[in-house]
Amino acid sequence: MSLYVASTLTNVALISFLALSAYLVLVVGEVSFGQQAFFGIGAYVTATVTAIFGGHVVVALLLSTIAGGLAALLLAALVIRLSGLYFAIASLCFAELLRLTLLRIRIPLEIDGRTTGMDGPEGFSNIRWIFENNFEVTDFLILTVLCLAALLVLLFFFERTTIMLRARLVGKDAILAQSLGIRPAQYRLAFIGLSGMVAGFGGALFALFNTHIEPQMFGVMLGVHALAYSIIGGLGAPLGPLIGVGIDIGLLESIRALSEYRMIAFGGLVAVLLILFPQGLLSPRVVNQLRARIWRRRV
Amino acid sequence: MFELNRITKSFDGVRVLQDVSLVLRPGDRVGLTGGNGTGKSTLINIATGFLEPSSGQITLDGQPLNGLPPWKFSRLGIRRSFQTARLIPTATVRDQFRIGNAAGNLHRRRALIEKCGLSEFLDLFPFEVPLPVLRKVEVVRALLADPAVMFLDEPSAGLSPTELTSFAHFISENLHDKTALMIVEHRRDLMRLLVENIVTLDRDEPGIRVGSMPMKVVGSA
Repeated sequence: MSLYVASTLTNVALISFLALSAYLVLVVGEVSFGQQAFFGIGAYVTATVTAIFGGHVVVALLLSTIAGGLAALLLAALVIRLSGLYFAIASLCFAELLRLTLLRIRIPLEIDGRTTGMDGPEGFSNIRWIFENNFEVTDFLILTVLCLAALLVLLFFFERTTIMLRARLVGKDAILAQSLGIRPAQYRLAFIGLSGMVAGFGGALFALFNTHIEPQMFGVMLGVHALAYSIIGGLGAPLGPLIGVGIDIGLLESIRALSEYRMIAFGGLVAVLLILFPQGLLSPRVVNQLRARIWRRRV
Repeated sequence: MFELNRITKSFDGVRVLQDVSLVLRPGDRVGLTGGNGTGKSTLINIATGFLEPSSGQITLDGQPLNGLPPWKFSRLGIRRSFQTARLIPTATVRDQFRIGNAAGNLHRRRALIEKCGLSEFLDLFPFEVPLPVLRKVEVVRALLADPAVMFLDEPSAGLSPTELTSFAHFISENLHDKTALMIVEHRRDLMRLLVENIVTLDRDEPGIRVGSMPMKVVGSA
């Protein structure tokens, strides 16, 4: 596998975490333009733990996941009473606030003759875990894909639980949910927290892979893309967002002739897909029809 | 005992309900009628927590319920159905039953589902199931919670006259003895099969007009 292919695939897998986190928020009927913030928090936490404190990578991943989840819970707890458009705007503000704050924090450090640590717009350099542990690009690809696969398996089984059924109901019909004794705010809070954990974990891997991160990487466009992946991929199954990522990064970016115009091509594609498939490719309806068909064959 | 005491509701100065009082005791079967715009749905929305009254009290066994969110009403055993068949589009019939709070244990659920002839539909999605069955599913879903009070808002909408009779029998057979039922219906034949007394809302008259058995209903103020 060429280096280029391996790193493109790794990027697809990394951004998939972000897309899945946007998906978890959409499932409970909220739209977030701020998932990149939790991704960024995860990245900075892992960078700090591994590059400055020399912490074990498992500890770093764990702390990133927790930090992402806590940040998302904090945001959700503050603005859960706002819904719809207001939540979307609040999430956007939160993410931008974080990015602008990161631009201001400058505590560069010198460790083993190399500059590292948070340095405002210069970013956080020399996150050397991947070199110190002799990880090739393909090794890291395997690690990332395994983590992603584990998450997908978890989500797949989660899909059949009462919790997920209720969460989907909250997203689809909060009135009916309430009439059945389900408290929508509880599910919104929990799922937004969960989404922060997923994004935080993905961000941690992103930091390890990139070895250098900077606040500009976690801008609005990243969040908008994550959202777009879920929307074109569909909310019927966790595979939906992955299809979205595959189309954008896997297909559009890898066609070199197109890569310069990727934003234009992707924007156009999103528009076309939403006209043809307003509910996304793997919409709940499509997924249900597939499921019904498989069931009937079994009977 | 579920009680509405002098409920008044206005929307932007337009008074929809005025001084409506009502008592539902365990086992009561009450029909609610009234012309278009007399506030039947508003009354149900207030009684189930989806709307707050402009004034007046709602109590269940003496416990005041004013200001509680709808999901709390539901958990206290005040359940409702909606005018249009409202099922979860993304869930199978089986899942419709297990999704709600207080959905009963598996055995109970199975027994009731079997008794109501819904077993063959369990693996189907709402879009694959005929409307009368969906209506049944809704009612069974509410019954599983053994509600203290159950409000059915036009449960027969969309059913043919023949389906109607069997539907009425189905409800009365499966209703818990202790559940108080209030049902909004236009179809008198369904009412006759299900209900012991009827109360009427009138646009020009405050309060609620009491039908055949006034003992069970606190009159209007």
